[in-house]
Amino acid sequence: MVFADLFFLFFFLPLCLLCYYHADRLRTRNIILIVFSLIFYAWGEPTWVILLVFSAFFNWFMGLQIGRFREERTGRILLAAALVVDLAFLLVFKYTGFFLETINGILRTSIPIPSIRLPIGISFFTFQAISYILDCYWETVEPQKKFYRFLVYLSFFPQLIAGPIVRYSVIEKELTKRKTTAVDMYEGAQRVIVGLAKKVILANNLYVIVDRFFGSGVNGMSMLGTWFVVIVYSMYVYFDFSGYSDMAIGMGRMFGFHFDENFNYPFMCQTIAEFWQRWHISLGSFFRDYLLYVPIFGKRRMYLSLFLVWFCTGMWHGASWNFILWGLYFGCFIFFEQKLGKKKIKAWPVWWKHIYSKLVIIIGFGIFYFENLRDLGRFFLNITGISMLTGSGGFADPITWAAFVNNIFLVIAALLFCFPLIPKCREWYVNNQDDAIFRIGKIGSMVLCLLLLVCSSIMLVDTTNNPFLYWRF
Amino acid sequence: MQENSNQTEMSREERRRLRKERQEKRRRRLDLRLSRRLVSALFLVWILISVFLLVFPRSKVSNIEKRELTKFPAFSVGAWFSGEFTDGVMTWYTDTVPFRDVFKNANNNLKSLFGISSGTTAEVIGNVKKVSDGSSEEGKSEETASAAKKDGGEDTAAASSAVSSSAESAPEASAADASAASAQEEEEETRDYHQEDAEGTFENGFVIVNLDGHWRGLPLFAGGECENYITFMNDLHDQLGDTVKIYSMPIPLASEYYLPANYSEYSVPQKACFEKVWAQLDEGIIPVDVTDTLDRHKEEEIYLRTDHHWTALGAYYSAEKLAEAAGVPFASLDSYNRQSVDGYVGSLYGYTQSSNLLNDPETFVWYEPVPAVEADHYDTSFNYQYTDGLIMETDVPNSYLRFMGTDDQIVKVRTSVKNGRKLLMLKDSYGNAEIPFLTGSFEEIYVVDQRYFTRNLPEFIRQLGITDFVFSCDSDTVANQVVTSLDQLMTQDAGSAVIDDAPAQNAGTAEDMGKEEAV
Repeated sequence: MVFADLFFLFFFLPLCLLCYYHADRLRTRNIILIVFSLIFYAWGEPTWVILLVFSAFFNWFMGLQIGRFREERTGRILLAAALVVDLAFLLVFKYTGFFLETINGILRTSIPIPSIRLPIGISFFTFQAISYILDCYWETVEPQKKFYRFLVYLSFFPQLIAGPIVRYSVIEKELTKRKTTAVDMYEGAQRVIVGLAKKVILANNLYVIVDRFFGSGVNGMSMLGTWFVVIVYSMYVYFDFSGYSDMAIGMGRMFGFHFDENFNYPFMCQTIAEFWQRWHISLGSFFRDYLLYVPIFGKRRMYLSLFLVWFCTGMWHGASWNFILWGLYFGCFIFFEQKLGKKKIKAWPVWWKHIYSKLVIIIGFGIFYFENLRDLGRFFLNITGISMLTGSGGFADPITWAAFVNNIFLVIAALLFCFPLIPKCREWYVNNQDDAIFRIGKIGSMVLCLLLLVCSSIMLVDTTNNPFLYWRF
Repeated sequence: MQENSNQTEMSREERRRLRKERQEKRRRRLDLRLSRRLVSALFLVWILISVFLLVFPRSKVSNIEKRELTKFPAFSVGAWFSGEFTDGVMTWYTDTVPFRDVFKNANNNLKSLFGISSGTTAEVIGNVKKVSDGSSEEGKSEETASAAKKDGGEDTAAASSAVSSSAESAPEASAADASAASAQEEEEETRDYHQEDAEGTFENGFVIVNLDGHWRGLPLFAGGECENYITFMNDLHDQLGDTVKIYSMPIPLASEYYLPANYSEYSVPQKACFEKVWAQLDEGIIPVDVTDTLDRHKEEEIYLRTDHHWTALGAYYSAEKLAEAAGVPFASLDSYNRQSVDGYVGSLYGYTQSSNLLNDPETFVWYEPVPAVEADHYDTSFNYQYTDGLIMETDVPNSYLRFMGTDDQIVKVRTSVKNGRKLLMLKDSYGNAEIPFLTGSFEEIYVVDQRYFTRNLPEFIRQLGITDFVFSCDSDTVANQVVTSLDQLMTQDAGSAVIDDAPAQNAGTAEDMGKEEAV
């Protein structure tokens, strides 16, 4: 099941909310969440729902044991075992094909590549489990004694299949005690609708442009055209993923959970380091807390750790070399910025920092898009203008110009919403002393949300299938 | 004194703090109250939508997309574990939304707010690629590659490439029994959308231009080597010798005449393509060049704006050229009974989803032969089904079906001409519109769709005593853009006798025969 879908929005979710709030006791409510979450997962993965339940049981059990034997050597062994099992599942399901293909390519062998279907969300819930195990070992959290409560954490459908990667510590208390106020409902519901609109109104329609041009190969595209489409693609990825995170956070709020933010207007960044503090925050902080600061290569070779982290960040996004290249590409810029030092960078003019960071990010998304390395090469030839010299694609072309004009308001709206317009508006009426303004603000924003909900729903009629970009995870 | 002022200051600060606290408390209460009310309003709307979707009758058919909508999937353990059942339920739930076409139109109107398409800037739909020397640079569009790459939401590009794969046949096939059905005013059970048969593609996308204040959809021509067409025609000529006059009559798409110059690199010139084809045909085959006559009349309404077909008028000018080449009489336009309906929006709206086309309907004009002519309808194996008037009754959206109805049949037209000339027209849907204008030229006209014919073509022609054979089809068919079953027509069903089991003339109409036989 996907969020941006009529069946989910107007059947599953209302039903779940009704059942949930019909129950009085938290225990019943937790069980209702488990039931609906497992149905949600089984809906898309009728076989591998077993894997989810097994992973939950295994990690819950190991968490308890690690808690018991933390001080002793057994604790370390159990930790290693848990991590190995968790990672093994992820590696086998997600990367077997990739490993074998790479080996075949390098050693010129032809090992048959089994076609393994990737269980949805495995990257997310595996990382959540790993964070829990490590937190238990490092005493950041108290191991959960009741299995069903841990299952709520791991299987909770808003964040199950596409994040954010919610740390156990964030919702530990809310597992046993939570209350949803009217404000929670209001803001949660609005968040869901805003996320939905980002996905359905902005992202899906931006993708039409991307697919039309990049989808049939970038050969023959003009330089301006290629720039236009890759910028649109960058915005598409942002709205698609952050829209989904918004819906996850909003839904969590509607059930009384408070998740951490996953996106913080990443295009407002001035440096690449800052970009990664604003983009897919839960992933960046996962690698930072659980991998970067673990001195695998020793304290003096921190830069190796850095590149390992970026290698993994890239690889997490997809079992393909262009994703790893993408991760290392950013790793290089992070390394470069670290070497340069904060002082020097602070001295750069702001306008230059913005241009620099946007160029790096946009070109980065080009690497992200083209899994076929030949197409990626052509992409670079196009954006640098070299392809103009060879005659395959000029500076501009009427088709991309038409696409731009046909979608100009969409593109402008997308650009605008890359900025924190919504928080600024909210700030204005929330902090305003005048109650009338506050009223207008609150009512107005709900009216807008209703409009967005209706428009998004109408647009959803047109798509019978609407998967999320990060679906492969 | 000092003490007093200190005390006043303190109390002023105190008072300020207390006032602030009270304000915040009031604000919090207001927030809570407003939140409660607004959330209730939101949930009310949400529940209403949910109930609407659950309770109202589901849509069964989309007139815009000209297809049957998804059916509720059958449950089985296998279907559950393969994910087919759950996927099917979600697809069904969205696909069969009550009043689906209303929402689709609303969706397209909303999308028109995304940008500007005006007189000077065309709307571009689908994967439009540069073409050169009669074939597009990229070859086959890589829509499968992009689908594998990112499971992007079903977007216009993917939808138009996917839907366009049923381009030629879908409108006709999809309304297969619609004309028959609409005469009885029964829609559902007679529909048989041959989507799986049709593989035509508008591979090279569409441009929607505004010319003289009206929007016109132009499928672009991707070109091709046309080998199948050439081989087929030459083979047929070899088999039939000079006993039958064979005509090659390719018909250009509207982009030949209406595509703005700045898009000329995206559509292959069609006249030049035809000339290349004719140069490779055997000596005995007669080329019928309609490109110049259509060019002369292009200021008139010779092509539909919102549909991928031409108009009856365009077909008339072309039929005139055929009659000229065949040396048969030809009835002028004023001898026909001109009819029209307003509010026609054709197939291109379904493919492109352009609200410009939706909101700019056209008048559909057709010409009925006087006196009225009858046509015998056979199935694709030449088994008689029923007799009906040549011009059929349809609803406005399916107006192009007025010309004999669907494509998945064989039609024999009996005229009052007595010159011993029997024409067999092998066609795609473009040919349909020409037939009424040939009723003053040939004694009998057999109409066979190149996609829906199970008999052996040369034997069929010989045994029926055909004197003239014309292959009349659009550029895409010539260039192999649609399903290539031409060689099968030459080899299939060899050696079987062709028997016309239609009752003698004036035997009865569809009402007498009972439409159940037809469907």
